[in-house]
Amino acid sequence: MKLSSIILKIAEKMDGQRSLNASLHVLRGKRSGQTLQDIDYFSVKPYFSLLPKLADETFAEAVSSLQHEGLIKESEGIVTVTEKGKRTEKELRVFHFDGWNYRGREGIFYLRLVLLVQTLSQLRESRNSFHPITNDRKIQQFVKGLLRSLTGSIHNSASNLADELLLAFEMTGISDLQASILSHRLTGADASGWTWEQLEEATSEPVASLQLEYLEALHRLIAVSESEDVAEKLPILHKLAHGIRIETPLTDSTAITKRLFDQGVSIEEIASTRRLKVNTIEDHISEIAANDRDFPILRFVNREDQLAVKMEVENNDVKRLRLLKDKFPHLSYFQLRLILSTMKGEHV
Amino acid sequence: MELHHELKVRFGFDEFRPGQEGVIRSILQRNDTLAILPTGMGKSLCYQLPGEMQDGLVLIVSPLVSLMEDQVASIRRRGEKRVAAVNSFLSSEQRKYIFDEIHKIKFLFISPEMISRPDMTNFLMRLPISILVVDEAHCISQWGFDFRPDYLRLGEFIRLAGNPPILALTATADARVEADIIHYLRMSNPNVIRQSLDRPNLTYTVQQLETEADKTTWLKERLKRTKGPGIIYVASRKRAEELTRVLQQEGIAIASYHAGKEAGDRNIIQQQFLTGEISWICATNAFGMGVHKDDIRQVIHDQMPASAAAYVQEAGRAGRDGERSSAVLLYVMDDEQKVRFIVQKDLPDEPQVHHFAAMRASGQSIESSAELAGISETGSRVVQYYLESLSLEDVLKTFTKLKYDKEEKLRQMIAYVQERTCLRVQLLSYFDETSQTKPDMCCSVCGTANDEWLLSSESLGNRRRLLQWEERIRLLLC
Repeated sequence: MKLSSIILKIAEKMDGQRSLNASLHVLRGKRSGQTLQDIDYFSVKPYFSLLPKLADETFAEAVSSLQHEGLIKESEGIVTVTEKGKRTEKELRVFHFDGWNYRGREGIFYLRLVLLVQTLSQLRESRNSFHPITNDRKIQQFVKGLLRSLTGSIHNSASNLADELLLAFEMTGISDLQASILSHRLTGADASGWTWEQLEEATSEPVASLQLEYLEALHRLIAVSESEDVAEKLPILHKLAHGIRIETPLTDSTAITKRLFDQGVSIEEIASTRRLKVNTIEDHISEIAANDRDFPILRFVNREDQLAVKMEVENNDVKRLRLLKDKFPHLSYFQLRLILSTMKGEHV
Repeated sequence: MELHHELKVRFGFDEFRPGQEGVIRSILQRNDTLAILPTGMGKSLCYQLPGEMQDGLVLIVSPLVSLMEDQVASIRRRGEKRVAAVNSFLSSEQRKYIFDEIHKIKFLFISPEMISRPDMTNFLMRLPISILVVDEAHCISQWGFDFRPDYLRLGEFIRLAGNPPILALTATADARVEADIIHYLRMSNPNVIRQSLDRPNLTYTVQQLETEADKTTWLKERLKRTKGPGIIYVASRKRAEELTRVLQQEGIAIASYHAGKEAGDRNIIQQQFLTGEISWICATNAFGMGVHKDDIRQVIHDQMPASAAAYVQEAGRAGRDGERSSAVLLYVMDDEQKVRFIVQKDLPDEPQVHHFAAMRASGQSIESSAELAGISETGSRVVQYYLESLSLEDVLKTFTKLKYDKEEKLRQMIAYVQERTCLRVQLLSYFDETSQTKPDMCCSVCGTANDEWLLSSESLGNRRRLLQWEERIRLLLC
C-alpha cells in the first residue's frame, strides 16, 4: 500500500476545492476549524489523524510521484485530479481505515496485545522472569489486570487467545500479508518479533508500505474486537479493545469552550475568560459545529444568509471559502465555515 | 557471615562479586561511600541489599530515563514491587499517585532535573531517606565524559535533606573525577572503594587500516570467520544503517540499533540479541546501558570513542561471564579529526557564548538564544547553567578549560592507537592503575592477541523465516 494512493483518494474527494496542504492536515489530524470541517464535508474522516507524525518530505515525495505520473495537477494552490488520476483512483482497492475514531490509539491496543501474548507465551514455558517488550506502566497494569480476570490454566488462556486471534483475523477480512505482519510483530518465548527491516527483506515490500498495511489491519482488528456482538466469541480481544475508540471527538480545550458556549456565553467573553484569542475560540466553535447536528447556528448567521450560501454551493459546486467570501463579502470566514459545517446530511 | 546469609535469602546468590561486600558494609555503618566498580559488577546490589535490610526510603538519582526504567523493571522481576520512578515523562496525575503512595515505596528512582525542582525538594526532604544513591556519579564532574550540569544541584538537595548517607556509584573515575564527586556531593570522610578496572579475560587489539573502505572489508571478513555474540560500535546512525546492510548481504545475522529507531523495533532487536536469534548488533553508543548479556564475545569499534573512559566502558561489555573475549579498535590515520569534530561541536566558542549571553539579556528564551548563537541543545544547557552562577569572563575560562580537557582525553585514545606500549597497561594507567598480572592473550602490541579461538562461521546463515500467519500464532501460544 502506498502513501500516494491514500493521498490520491483524499485528493479525489476534494477535487478542485482544496490545496495539497489540506490533505496533509487531514493525514496529520490537524485540529483546526478548517480541517475539521473539511473532513466532514468531503467525507475523508477515515483518513483523519492516520499519520500524526507524517514528515513534510515523505508527503512531498508521495505528491511528486503522483504529479510525475500525471494523476494530479496543482495550480494556484488548488489540486485537481486528472482523468487518468480518476481512472487510477477507481482501480484502487477500498481502504478500511478508521482514523477518526482511533487517532493513533491503535498503538495502545497493539502494545497491550503484544505484552499479553509475550506474557502468556513465557508463562506457559514456566518462565516467570523475562524482559517485558514495553516498559509503559499503564500498559503493564492493564495487561496485569486482564491476566487476573482470566480463569483457567495459563495453557488454556494461551490457546484460547490463539483461537481468538485465528478467528478474529478471518473475521476482519484482512489480507494474508496483513495477517502475516500482525502475527510477526508479536513476540514470544524464543520467537522474538520481527523488526520492520526484517519484514521488508522477507516480503520484498518497502517498510512504509508494510506500516500502512499494518495500520489498516489493526484498525479492522480493533473494529471487530470492540463490537458488542463478539464479547462472547472473542472475550480476550474484546477486553483488549476497551477504551481505544475516542469517546468524545472534541479536544479537551474545545470541550471547555463547549461548556461555556452551551451556557450561552459569547465568543468574546469565552476568549477573555480563558485568556485565549478570539480566533482560537472560533476554531473551537467550528469543531463543535462539525460534531453536533443540533448546533444553534442561528446564534451566528440568519436564515437568509444560510440559504443563499447553500444555494451557491449546491448550484455552482463552489466549496472554496475564498470564492464564497467574494460572493458574500458581508459574511466572515467564520460564518461561512459554520454554514458549510452544518450543511452535512442535507447535502450529498 | 550474617551478610552472606542475607544475600542468599534475599537474592539467592552464594557469593558477592568483587568489591560489593566492602561497599555494603560501609553503607550499613552509615558512612558516605564512593564505589568505583567496573560495569557489570553488580552495582545495584550495593544499594538493594542494605536498602532491604534497613528502614526508610532508598532514593536513587539516575541520569537516563531508559536506564531508570530498566532498573525498576529488574527490581520488579526479582519480586520487589515497592519501587517507582519519577521523571519528567510522568504525567502530573501519575506523579501525584506516587506521592500519595510514597509510604509504600522502598526504592524511588528520580532524575537529577526533577530532584532540584522546589516542590520535589520540599516533598522529598521530609521523607526518611535511608540511603541517597547517586548513580553514574561521574556525571557530576566536568572532567567526566558524561558531564550533566543538573548533577551539580544535588549538593544543595543533600544539605536540605539533612545529609543522609550517600552512596556514589560509578564505573570509571580518575583522581580528578573522584575529587569532584566528593566535593560536589559534600561527602564527609567518605570510604572510597575502588575495584580494579583490569579485565584479564579481555584481549585488546588495535587494527590499523589504510582507508575507511578497508574497515568495511575487514569487518565483513571478520564477521564471516569469527563467532558472536558481538557488538560493533560506530560513530553515527548513518554508518550503523549502511554497515548493517552490507553485513546482512554477507549473510550475517545482524541488526542496527540507534536512538533514531522506533521504540518497538529497539525492544525487538534487544530481545533478538538476548535470545541469540541475531548474533550481532551494529550500534551507536545509545546501545549498552542496561543491556544484560553476559556472553558477549566481541566488541569491535569502527571508530575510536572520545575518551579512554568511554572505551573501557563500551569494550567492557564483552565477557562479563569471565570467559575469554575480544576488544578490537579499528583505526585509520586521521580518524581523530572526525572524533574531535563530534566532541567539540557541543562546546560553544567565545563569540557564541557572547552572542548567547547578549540574546538572553535582551529577553530571548534559552532555546531561541541558542539557535541564534548556533549552539547545540546540549551546549545551551551547559552555558545556561554556568551563566547562572559565574561571570561571563569565568564562563569563558571554564569553556577554554573544558575544550582543553576534551582534547586531552582524545589524546589518550590517539596514544592508545599509535603508541607501542601494552594496550592493557595504557588503559589502566589512565585510571592510575597498574596491571597486576599479564594474561597469556594480552594485546596486539604485546603480540599475543591471538584470535584463533574465535574462528567459527556460526554467525552466518539467516535462520529466521517468515511463517504462515496461522502457524506463527500457534508457535507463540500453543
